[in-house]
Amino acid sequence: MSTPRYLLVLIRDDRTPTLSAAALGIMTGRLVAWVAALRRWRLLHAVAVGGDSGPVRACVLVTATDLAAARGLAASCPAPVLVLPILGEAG
Amino acid sequence: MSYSEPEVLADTFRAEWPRLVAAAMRLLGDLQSAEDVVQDALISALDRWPLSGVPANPAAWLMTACRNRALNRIRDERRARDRDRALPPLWQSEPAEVPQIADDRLRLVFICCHPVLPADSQVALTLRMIGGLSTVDIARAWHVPEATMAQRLVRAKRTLAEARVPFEEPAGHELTQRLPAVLDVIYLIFNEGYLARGGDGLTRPDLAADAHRLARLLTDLLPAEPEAWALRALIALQRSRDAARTDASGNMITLEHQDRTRWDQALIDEGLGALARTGGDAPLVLQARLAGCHATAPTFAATDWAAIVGCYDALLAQTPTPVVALNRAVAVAMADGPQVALPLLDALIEDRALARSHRVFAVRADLLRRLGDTDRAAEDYDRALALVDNDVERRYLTDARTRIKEH
Repeated sequence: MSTPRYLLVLIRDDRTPTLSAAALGIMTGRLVAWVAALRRWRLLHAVAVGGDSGPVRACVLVTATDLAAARGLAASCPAPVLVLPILGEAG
Repeated sequence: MSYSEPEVLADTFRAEWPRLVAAAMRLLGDLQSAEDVVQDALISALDRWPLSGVPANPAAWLMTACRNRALNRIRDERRARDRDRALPPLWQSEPAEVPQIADDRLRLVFICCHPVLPADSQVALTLRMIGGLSTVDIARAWHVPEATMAQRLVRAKRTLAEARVPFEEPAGHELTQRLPAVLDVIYLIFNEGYLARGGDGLTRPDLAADAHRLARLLTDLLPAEPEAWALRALIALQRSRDAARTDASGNMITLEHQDRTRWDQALIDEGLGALARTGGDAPLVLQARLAGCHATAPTFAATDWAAIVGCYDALLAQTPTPVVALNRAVAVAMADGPQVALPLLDALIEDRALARSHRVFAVRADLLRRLGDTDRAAEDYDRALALVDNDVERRYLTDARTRIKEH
C-alpha cells in the first residue's frame, strides 16, 4: 500500500503587500528553507506556483503517514496553509 | 539551503530596494507607481523562489521583474490612453525606454530630501524609499499612528509629482546647496536612534543602523564629499560605544564609567577611516573629530579635553546654539575644572531654548556635586527629573540624586 499524499495549499497573507523589504526577504528565506527541508526529507512530490494575485500562493504535494503528520508539516510552514487529503490515498 | 537564508535574503531585499525603486522611477516617473512595482516584484520572489530555488543572481532577477512590471504598466496605461490606435509591439520600443541597470539611487536620495517637502516628510520618504522600511515601522519609530504616517507619505509623493520634480541628481553649485538637506535627514534619523526621545530604551538600534546604512550608501555614491564621510565617521564612532552605554539591566552608563574594552573596534576603525577622508571645518566634520577624540582616548582622564574644547569653540562660531554651548561647557569642566564651567552653565540656564531641557540641569547638578555643593546639586537633579522623558535617563538621574544624599 502506497504512502498517502496530501496537498498543502499555501495561502496568501493579506498583510504581505505592506511589509518592508527586509520583512519580505525574511519571509521568502523561511519559505525557501521550508521547501528545501521537505525536499531533503524526500516528502516533496510536486509544486505549483499560483498567480500573482488571488488567495493561493502555491500548492505543494507531499507524502505523509496520515492527516496528523500532514498537519504537522503544514504547521512548520512559515505561511498559512490549508491541508487537503488526496482522495483514495489518505487514511 | 542553509537556515541563515532568511537573513541573507532580508539583506538582499533591503539592499536592492532603493536601486529597484530608482530604476522603476526612471521608467515610470512617479514614486508611487515605482514603489508599487518594486513591492510587486518582491512579492513575486516570495511566491516563486521557495519553489523554483533562489536564482544565481537574485539582484538581477529582481531588477528584471521590476523592469517587466514597469513596462507592463506603461503598456497598460498607453492602451488605456490610445485604446483605438494599434500599438507597436513593446519590444520595438524597449531599447529606447529601458535603461541598463544604471545606479539611480543618488537621484532617489535627492528626490526624497527635496526642499519642496517639509522635514518630517523628507525623513519618512527617505526611510520608505531608500531604507525599504514599511509604513508601520516608520510610524512606530516616530510615535505617530500608522494612518498619519501613511497620509504623510502619500502627500509627500503627491507633492513631488505635482511639483514635477525632475529625477536627476543636482550638480555643481546645486549639489553643494542641497547636500546639507540630505545629511540633515540622515543625521536626524540617527539622532532619534541614538538617544530615543521617549520610551523605555536608551536607544533604538534599528533606526541608528538604518541611518548608518544610509550614510554608507551616501559615501559610496558621493566619495568626493568630505561631509558625507564626516557623517559616516560620526555615526560609526557613536555606534561603536552602543554596547557600553547601558548595563545588563538597561541602566545608562556615562562616558566616564564606560568599559572601553566593550567599544566596537571594527566600528571605531570604520569611523577613523572615514574621518581621514574629511577635511575643512564644517560642523559635521568638527562633530566627527570630537567623536574621534573620544574614540582614541585610552581612558576618560587621558582624553584630550583641550582639543575637544577647541573643536567646540570652532563649532560654536559656526552654529551658536545653546546645545553646542552646553556641550562646550561640559568639555571646559573637564579641561579646566567645574568651577570654571559653572558660570557658563548659569548663563545657559537663563536661555529660553534650554529652559525645557533636562540636560542643562543634569550637567549643572553634576558640576555642583563635584564642587561639594550637594544641596544645590539635589535641587538641580529634581529640576532635571521633572523634565526628562526617557525612562533610562530618568533612572540614571534618580540614582545620581540618591547617591549625593547618601554622602
